[in-house]
Amino acid sequence: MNVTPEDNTEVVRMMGDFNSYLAEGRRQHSNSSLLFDMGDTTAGKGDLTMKLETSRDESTVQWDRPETAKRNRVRRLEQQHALEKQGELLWTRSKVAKLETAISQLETEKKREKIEFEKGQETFRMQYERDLEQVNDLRHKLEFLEREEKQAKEELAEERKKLTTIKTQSEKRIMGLQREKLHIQAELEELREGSRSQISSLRNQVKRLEAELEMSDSELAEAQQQVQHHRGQAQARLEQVQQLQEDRIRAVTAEHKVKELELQLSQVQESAAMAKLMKTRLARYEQLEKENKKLLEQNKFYRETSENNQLLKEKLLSLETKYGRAEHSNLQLIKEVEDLRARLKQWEGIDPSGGQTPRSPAEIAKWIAELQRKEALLTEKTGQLTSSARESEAGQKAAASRLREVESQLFASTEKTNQQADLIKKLQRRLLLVTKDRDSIRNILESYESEVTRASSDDGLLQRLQDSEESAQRYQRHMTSLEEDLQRLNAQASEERIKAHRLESELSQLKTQTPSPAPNPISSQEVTTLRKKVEDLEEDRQKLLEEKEILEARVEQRHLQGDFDPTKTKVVHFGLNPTALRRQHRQEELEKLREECEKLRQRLRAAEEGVAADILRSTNSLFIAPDLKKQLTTAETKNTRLKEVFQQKIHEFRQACYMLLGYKVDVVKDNNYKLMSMYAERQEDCLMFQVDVVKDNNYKLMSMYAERQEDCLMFQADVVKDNNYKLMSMYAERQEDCLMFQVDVVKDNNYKLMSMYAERQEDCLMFQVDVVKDNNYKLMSMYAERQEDCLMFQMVPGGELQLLETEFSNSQAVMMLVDLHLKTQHSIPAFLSALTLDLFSQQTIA
Amino acid sequence: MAGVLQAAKNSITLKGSAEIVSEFFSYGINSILYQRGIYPPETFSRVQKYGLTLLVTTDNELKTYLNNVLMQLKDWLLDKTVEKLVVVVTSIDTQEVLERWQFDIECDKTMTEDSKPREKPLKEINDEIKAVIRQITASVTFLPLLEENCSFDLLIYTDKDLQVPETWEESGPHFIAKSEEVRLRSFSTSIHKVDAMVCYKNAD
Repeated sequence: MNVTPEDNTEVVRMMGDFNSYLAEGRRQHSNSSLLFDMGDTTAGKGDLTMKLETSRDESTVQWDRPETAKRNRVRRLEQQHALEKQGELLWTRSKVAKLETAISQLETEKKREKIEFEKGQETFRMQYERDLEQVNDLRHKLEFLEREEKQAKEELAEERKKLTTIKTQSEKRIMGLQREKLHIQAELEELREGSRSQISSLRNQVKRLEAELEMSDSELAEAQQQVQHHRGQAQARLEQVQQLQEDRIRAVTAEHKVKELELQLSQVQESAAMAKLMKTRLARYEQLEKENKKLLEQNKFYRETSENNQLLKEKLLSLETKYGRAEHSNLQLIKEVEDLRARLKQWEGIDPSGGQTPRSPAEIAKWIAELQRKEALLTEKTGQLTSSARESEAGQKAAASRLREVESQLFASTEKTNQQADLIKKLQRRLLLVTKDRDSIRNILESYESEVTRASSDDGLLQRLQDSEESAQRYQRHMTSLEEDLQRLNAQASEERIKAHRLESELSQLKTQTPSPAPNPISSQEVTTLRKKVEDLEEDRQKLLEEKEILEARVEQRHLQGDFDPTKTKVVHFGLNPTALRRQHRQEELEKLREECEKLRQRLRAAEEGVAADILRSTNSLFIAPDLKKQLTTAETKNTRLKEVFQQKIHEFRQACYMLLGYKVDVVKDNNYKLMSMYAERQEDCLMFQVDVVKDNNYKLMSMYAERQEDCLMFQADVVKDNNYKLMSMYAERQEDCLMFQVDVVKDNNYKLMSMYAERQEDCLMFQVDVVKDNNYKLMSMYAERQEDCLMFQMVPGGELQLLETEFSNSQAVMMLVDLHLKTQHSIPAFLSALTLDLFSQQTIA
Repeated sequence: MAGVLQAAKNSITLKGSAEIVSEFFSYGINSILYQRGIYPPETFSRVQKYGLTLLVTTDNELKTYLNNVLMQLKDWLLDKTVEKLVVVVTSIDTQEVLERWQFDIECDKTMTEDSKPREKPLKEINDEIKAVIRQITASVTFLPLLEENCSFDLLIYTDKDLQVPETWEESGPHFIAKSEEVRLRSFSTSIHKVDAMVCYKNAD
């Protein structure tokens, strides 16, 4: 505000204006506050208006000015008022709009609330109804409970009544029981008194009894004494009894013995009697023997006679039979004679010349010849007759067959005739029937006609009767005719039967005739041949059947094996079948393998022929992997290197051994070793040893210079331990006299040779040759006092050995030997042997 | 499966019969190949058929071969020109025939594709086929062990005048020189009758 307060009057007016304004403002304020109350939702906006009003109040305070500016101010105020009014209008309008919206909102809310209210009402109503129902239920329940209560009350009353009755009863009972109790107590007291008196009496009794007991005790003691006394007696008695029993047993045994003896005696007596009897019998026996002999002789005689008798009897019987037979034959002979006589008479009677007796047999012979001739003629005739008979038989057979045919024809014809006759009869019968029918019909017609013509019924009836009678007569006639027919037929049948009989008889005759000429010799032969043929054919048939079966079985088998008829069927299969595929595959594999084989063969040939390495390599490269090749080459180089090193080392070692020990060992042949001394005068002065494998592990060393085969050294090589070889002479006196060699592989390419010579195992002499470094050899004696006492030799490039200084070599004893043998004599072997002997002597002395 | 549908009504046409027979051969040949160890057992899988657990190959090459052969066989069964089907087992190394499984096929020549179907329950046929396959399985007990590496071939005996496709060739009957024969069961669809038999090389 750019105006500053200068005039006091102005202030007064201002105060008045202000107050009036304030009054207005309060009114407005109250209005606005009312409005606030109306619109809860537009509370924020209300706040804003409040602020506006307050700011305006302040501005009005600042606008109070002096007089000059008063009008302006009034104007301004008026303008302000107008503006304010306009603003208020606008504001009120907006407010109205707001209120309208609020009203509309409120209306919607009201509607909503109404709906909610209705809903609530409904729910309340529902609840109310439910409550009502519940109330009803509860009322019912209440009623029920009341009823129950009543019942319970009634029951309670009853129970109470019962209780009172029970109480009274129980009181009565209690009273009774109390009375009983009193009664019982009284009884109890009585009983107590009784018992007390009883107890006292019993005590008295007890005392009495105790006294009695004492008495009885004393008696018992006495009795015990007596008992002991009796026992002693009893024991004595028992002993006696035992003795008695023993005696009794003895007596019994004695009695037994007596009985046995008696039995023996009786037996003896019996035997004595028997002996007597036997004696008498023996006396008789001799006589009997004599008699027996006599009887035997007699017996023999009788037997012989009886045999003779039997023989005679048999002879007699045979003679009798002979006699019977002779008589019989005699009778037969007589008969024969008579017969012959009768025959003779006959013969005499038969004489052809008639009446005259035969004069000579010649005539008879002639006669006989004639007779024979006649017989021949007759036989011829008979032959002719038989042939004619056969012809006639054949004719007869033909006739019979014809007869049969004729008969059959006859039968057929008779059958036909019969049939025809039957037919005729049937026809006749029909004819008759038809004629009768015709007659009857005619009669009926006539009667009808008469009925028609004549009215009289009696005549008609009479006529009908007559007609019927006539018809009956006709039927009778027909019957008779039929009977006649029947008779005739019967007669015919009988005739037929007779005919049949006759024919049968003829047939039987023919049959009897026909088999009689059957047994002809020719026909029987034929039959037999035919039979044979039939049999043969049967056999053939069976054979053929069997063959057929076999063939069928074969055919079946062939069929099972898959045989087929190539004319009708063919066998096909799918081209790309598994077998074919596999076979093809196999073929291919085979081809491959063949190629490979060929290549390998070529390679082998190349290797054999030593062809340029490039071919080999080329072939190699085909099959061998490069790493394998490398391995091979490295292995080969290693091998060659090893060989070289080994050779060198062995040479060195041999050289060292030669220099040290003074002998050179060469292998001349297999198992032949040549030993040459360092100090030999000539090249030829050498020893030859032969190692023969005599037996398992037995090696024979034979010197070439040995005079005899036997003068050889025999060594037995035993593997004592791993790498320890023991050589023992066959001629060794003791087990311990042997050479021991030990071959030790100390390190790679370092070989330790240990030789041992010993009289005994314990004190064997030993040089141990060790290759310490390249060309450095360490020799150690077993007799060395300490481990360190050793000699070192070095092989110089010239091939000579030099003794190296060691602690041991510097010792005085060794130095002496060195001076003597090495410096003057220049011989290591001599030095070593001397050293060995020295050390040995030291050790043994020690 | 028109044949089977027909057979469900207990009536069988020629086509249905050919179907049943070729199906039998499919399972039968698979069984033989498994039982005789011609193909490794791990290449077979289990299948339920005819109320039996049968083994069927999973080898694709073998499957295609069998399908080819059996399709052709079915055609020829319809033509009624097949007389026999033979499974020949040969050693690969020596090319010797070791076993011959022969199936004789008798066909009712009067039947045509249009003629009236025959009556026979499918169950009965299946039971018969089951018995045959069981016998094939059981025959391992008496057949000698196939020690060598073996392979098989299928021969079909047909009419001489039959025109065969180019993939098919004429073959020998592949007899076994010294053989033992065993007749097996047979089955019939009332149109085709199949007699099974096996002959094998005598071990002596």
